[in-house]
Amino acid sequence: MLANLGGIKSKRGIFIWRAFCYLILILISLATVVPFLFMFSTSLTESFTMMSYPPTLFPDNPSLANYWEIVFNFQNGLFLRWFFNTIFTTVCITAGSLVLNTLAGYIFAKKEFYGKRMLFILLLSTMMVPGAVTLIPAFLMINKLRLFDTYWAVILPGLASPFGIFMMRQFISSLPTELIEVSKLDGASEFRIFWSIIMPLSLPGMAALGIFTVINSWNSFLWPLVVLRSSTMRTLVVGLSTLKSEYITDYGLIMAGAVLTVVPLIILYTLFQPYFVEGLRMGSGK
Amino acid sequence: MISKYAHKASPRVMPRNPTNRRRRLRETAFWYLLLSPSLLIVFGFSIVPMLWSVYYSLTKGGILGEKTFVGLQNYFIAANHPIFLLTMKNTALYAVLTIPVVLFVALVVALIIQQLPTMQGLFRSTVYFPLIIPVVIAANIWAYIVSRDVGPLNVLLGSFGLPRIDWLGDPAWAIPAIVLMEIWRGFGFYVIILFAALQSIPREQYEAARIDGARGLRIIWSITLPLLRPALGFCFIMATIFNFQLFDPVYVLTQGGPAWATSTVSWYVYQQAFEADNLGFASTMGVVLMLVILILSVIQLRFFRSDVEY
Repeated sequence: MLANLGGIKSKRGIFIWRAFCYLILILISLATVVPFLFMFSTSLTESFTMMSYPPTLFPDNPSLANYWEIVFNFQNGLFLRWFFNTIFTTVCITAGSLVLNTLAGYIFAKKEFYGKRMLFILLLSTMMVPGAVTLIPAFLMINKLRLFDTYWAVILPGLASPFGIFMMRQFISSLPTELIEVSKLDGASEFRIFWSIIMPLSLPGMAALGIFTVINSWNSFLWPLVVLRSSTMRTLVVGLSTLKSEYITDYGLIMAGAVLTVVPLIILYTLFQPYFVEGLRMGSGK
Repeated sequence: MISKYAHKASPRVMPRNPTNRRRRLRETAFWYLLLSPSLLIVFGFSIVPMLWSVYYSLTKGGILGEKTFVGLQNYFIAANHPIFLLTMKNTALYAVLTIPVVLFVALVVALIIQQLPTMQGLFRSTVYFPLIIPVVIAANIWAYIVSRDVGPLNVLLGSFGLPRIDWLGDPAWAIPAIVLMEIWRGFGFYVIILFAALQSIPREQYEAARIDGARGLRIIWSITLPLLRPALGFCFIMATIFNFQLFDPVYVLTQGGPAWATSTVSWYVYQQAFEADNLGFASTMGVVLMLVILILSVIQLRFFRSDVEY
């Protein structure tokens, strides 16, 4: 589209310019992705040394032994338990937050009530409160509620977010208001309007928010680290961070765990990629 | 993100008619009731803990047990605390080193992607890829990349005849090593935002400039950049908020060391609260950090105010 940004007119000039752009982007893409290939190659290397030297992307004798070891032999299947914990909390957070954020987004987008503007500004401003001031009192609160070291401690704070509410509000604002008024005239209840009109029409927005929420809760680190204590309650990311210090120094094993942790995310990201980019765009308020 | 709603007031409808007014009140109560679970969770895990932190910052004591009220004493201690001041300086240094570079790289990449006739989506998802990987894993990989003896980065430097650097062990190089990681991991986020903004610039703007004889960098400087100002402002504010809260890479890569050289305020708050059991002082530092972020955000909002429509 901007090929003649530099005032290039000849066909050959445009071809060279485009080839140059592709080349730069391929180099940048490689720089972003290659570090992760080291994770993959290390996970296939059986070794007692820390890392191979010189660094190699293609190990000489690739083997799946590390994967077998971490999944089946490590601490009586502790890794599988971490996997379950992560899936369980992620599913609960995603399902719950989709309902709550969509409902709140709908109310802020389409309903009029006293104090709405102030409330919305207050809601958005909570995004600026840094984790450093909320972490400790939130942890003490979870303690008081007797939720320490339970799944609830991880799930509860994730069930609604200002970002999610903002995103769904932006999305639902663009749906026609007439639709709601017509169904009201037809005698549909508020609940029915939300459930069978707003929810289905918001599906693209919900897909974007959903994939966002899955990635965020799957990867969330500091909060689960603080509110979970027993090794059987840990999520994958927290578990992996303790592996190095507590149990082993075998990098191949840790990297096998890391690969298994990110593979579900990579699959999801590839499948939902269009929604994801769309969601980021909406979330930035464009 | 806030300013739009601050000056675009919805007409304040206060029905004169008492029946309408009662109905309006009833509806308000109903919507508040439906909003209450979300509001409880959002406020319960942000504003409520924040207020507690402000209270704890005026006390002395550990996480459990008695807390004695000491007034502003912690703030006076903080003002002269060498380690806290060092972590403040480090936090600012991370931000100053990271933000301009990461935004510049993102802008250039977004502009180049926009030149392409095909595969725009593929490149966008590739540069965003590191952001879907848990920071802990990305940081572990980075630890390997920059490790002194076997790290690919040092091998690369070595092939150019440059000396090996003990990236994470040398106080002078540890911060640059973490900054490099933040740039590598984070620039894709801004690429997506800036690319979306670039797409929304109408073609006619470029064509008009071209008719006027503008070319290349001149077009970028006088058409693209001014029209991109709102998006750049948004990126700037987000980058400031993210970078002033830097924690995960410090936790994984260096644990604040060597000798506090890489400690950020967030890391020191965590260390004081959960390792040194010094809740009062940790809260004080958290509150100071929050005020700094707040002041910076307000300044930036003012700076971008006339244009930012978020």
